[in-house]
Amino acid sequence: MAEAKNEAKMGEESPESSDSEAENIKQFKVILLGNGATGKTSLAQRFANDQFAQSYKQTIGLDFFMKRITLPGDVEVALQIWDIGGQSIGGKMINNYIYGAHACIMCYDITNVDSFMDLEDWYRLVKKSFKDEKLPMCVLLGNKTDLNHMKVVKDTVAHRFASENSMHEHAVSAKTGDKVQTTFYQVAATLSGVLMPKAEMDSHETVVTAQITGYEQHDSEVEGGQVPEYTHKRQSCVLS
Amino acid sequence: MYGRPLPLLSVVNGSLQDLNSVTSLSSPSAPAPLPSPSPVNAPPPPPFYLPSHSVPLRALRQFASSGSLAPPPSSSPAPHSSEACARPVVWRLLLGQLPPALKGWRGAAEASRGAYWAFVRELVDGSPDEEMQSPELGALKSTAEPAVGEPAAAGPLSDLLSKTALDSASPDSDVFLLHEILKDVNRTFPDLSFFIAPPHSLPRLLSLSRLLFVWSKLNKGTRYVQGMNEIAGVVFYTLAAGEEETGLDAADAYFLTSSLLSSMVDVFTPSLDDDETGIAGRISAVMSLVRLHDPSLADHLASLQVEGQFFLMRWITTLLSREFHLPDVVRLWDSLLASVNRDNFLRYACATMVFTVREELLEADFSGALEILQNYPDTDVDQLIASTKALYSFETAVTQVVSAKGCRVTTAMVEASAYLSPSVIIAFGFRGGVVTPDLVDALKETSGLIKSGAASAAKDVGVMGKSVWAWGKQAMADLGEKSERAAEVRRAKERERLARQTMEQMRRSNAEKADRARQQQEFLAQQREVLDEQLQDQINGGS
Repeated sequence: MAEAKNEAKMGEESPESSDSEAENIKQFKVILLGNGATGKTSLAQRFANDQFAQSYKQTIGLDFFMKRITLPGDVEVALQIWDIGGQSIGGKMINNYIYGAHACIMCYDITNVDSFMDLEDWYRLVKKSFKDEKLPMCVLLGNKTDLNHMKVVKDTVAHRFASENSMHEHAVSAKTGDKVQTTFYQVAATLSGVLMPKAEMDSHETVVTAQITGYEQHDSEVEGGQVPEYTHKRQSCVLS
Repeated sequence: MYGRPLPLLSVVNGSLQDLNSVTSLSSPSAPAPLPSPSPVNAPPPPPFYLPSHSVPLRALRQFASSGSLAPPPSSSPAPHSSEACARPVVWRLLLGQLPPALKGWRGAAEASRGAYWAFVRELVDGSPDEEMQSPELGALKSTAEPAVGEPAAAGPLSDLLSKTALDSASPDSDVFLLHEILKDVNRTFPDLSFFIAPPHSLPRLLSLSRLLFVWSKLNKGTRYVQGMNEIAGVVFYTLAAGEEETGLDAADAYFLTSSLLSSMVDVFTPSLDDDETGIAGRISAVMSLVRLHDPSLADHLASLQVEGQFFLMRWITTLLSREFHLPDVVRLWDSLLASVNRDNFLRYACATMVFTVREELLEADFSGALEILQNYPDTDVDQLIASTKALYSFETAVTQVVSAKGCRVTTAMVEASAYLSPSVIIAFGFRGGVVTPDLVDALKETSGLIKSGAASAAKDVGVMGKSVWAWGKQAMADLGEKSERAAEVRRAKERERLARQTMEQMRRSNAEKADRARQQQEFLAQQREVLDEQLQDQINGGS
């Protein structure tokens, strides 16, 4: 296992795989980047432990998660999730976190336009860390779809950013669990070169239904008085 | 109450009432000093007596560091309990926020409270961003209506956070800074009712945010860095224990936090990352301590590519407040604050934490090791502290032993490793709650070996021989000089004796000569008389 990680860290191997001789399980380093409070830790917790708490302590430096999943064709892979503190962007040590990643998930909060705009900076950091090497797989991830009524980041703008930088694009809710598993399975499948049929993808989304009850209550409560304000704000902060 | 030695707690309590009476918020029914109750299961703490006029800081350090302050409450501070009242005062004394002289306490408290609220009036009430009518800044004003806490789904401050209009705010603006702070304060100890349960959670978190905002404004070179909220949170929680439920004066928490943060400014400054006192420097200082005392563990971690920054970043920037339950953090901080070198204490504590889980780490792969180090297992902090101190005194002892031969500690430890089983360092303290006397003995024996080894080494390099030679040379020189002088004296005396002898002989021979001359004269006189008689007879006979 150790050797596999070393290879991953060194980035000498092709990012497509790093086989462990002992167990023959492919391991991939997946890093979560983005501003503070966009829900990176919530995403990692939801994916790795299927948990959600209303608030997690802020990540200082790095939180690490590990999850093994089975892809179609009984392909077992292990995902190392490197959940990186939002404030790391200012420090010198961030390169150690980014370097050797097989996939970068760039997270923003769909209700916070700054978190989206700052992804430019995060992406620049990734490109800088990899210098002349081939960039890892990059995913643009909008979190907090349960707060869709407060959404301020326009789909068209997100699409443009994703296509300009050849990123995959997903929208999820760590709170309800919506599309979280799908996204990580998709990442794992792409990294291992496994095709994911649509039905197979949906089968991982078992949690969502139960969670939606809470979501609806919250939704109606909020809609009571505050929607006009956010509507106004959405118009005022369109990216161009 | 003065004039005779008093137990610490009652003095502290009495003076605490003085402190409370400084503010209008103090309760009229302030607690009467309770007789200090002994914990049920623990031996009574060693008595600590105060002279009536001044606190002996040295003794106070020992008292706090030995864990003699009451165990911190687990869920929420219990106001008015006499033991709980002691810690806030002790911490303020240890960090120099209160002077040792009791008579200066009232003045110091008044001064700090005046200063803090003046900062708030200037920096919050008078913020230029006020034109933007930020609801956040409004909530922090000194004149703001007391906030009423409602249960909020995403943290007590989430309502306030969601009202922000940051779109047009520049990253240097007050609103932007405050938003950063609120985002983190909103998730400070999210599992502690003290910070999340209404009705007090909202005013408390606002107070905490105000404190961090003021500090950031006054320390522009550093500004706000994630992790500061954790440090301020621990201080806030602890100080609240000594005060009336809503009457905690944020000024005291502010200056205590400020004192801690100011000594760590380099840690929070990215441009000093690689400096010895910056975060990277401190991380590598801990890792070199791990390598020094447990090379095989250090090799293992290196082979897994587990880098110090992956776990030490958080350990160091939050002063370990994220790694243990809050009461344990408070106990750990008793010793941390009492230490005369807090950076060193933290460094040895971090290394000890790594040693404590060494067996688990040696069996783990990369993710397993990070799992252990990032979710540190439940630990007896008293034992951790004992082990930390033991590690420090062991290294100090080794340093002293080897410094005699001018040897570096690193070299000595490598040489000594033949005698040291890898777990000796941990065993000098404790591990897993079990004291292992045989290992303590083994270490003592090893220390002996190191000592005698150093002594023979000293001979080898000829330090002793050199000094003996030098001493002998001096002694010989001394001796030679002395004998020369003695001979001189002897010769002089001899000359004197000979002279005296000669004189005597001369005197004696003179006397003999005189004698003989006198005898001759007498003989001659007799002869003359005889001749005279014979002549007279001849004359008389012949006639």
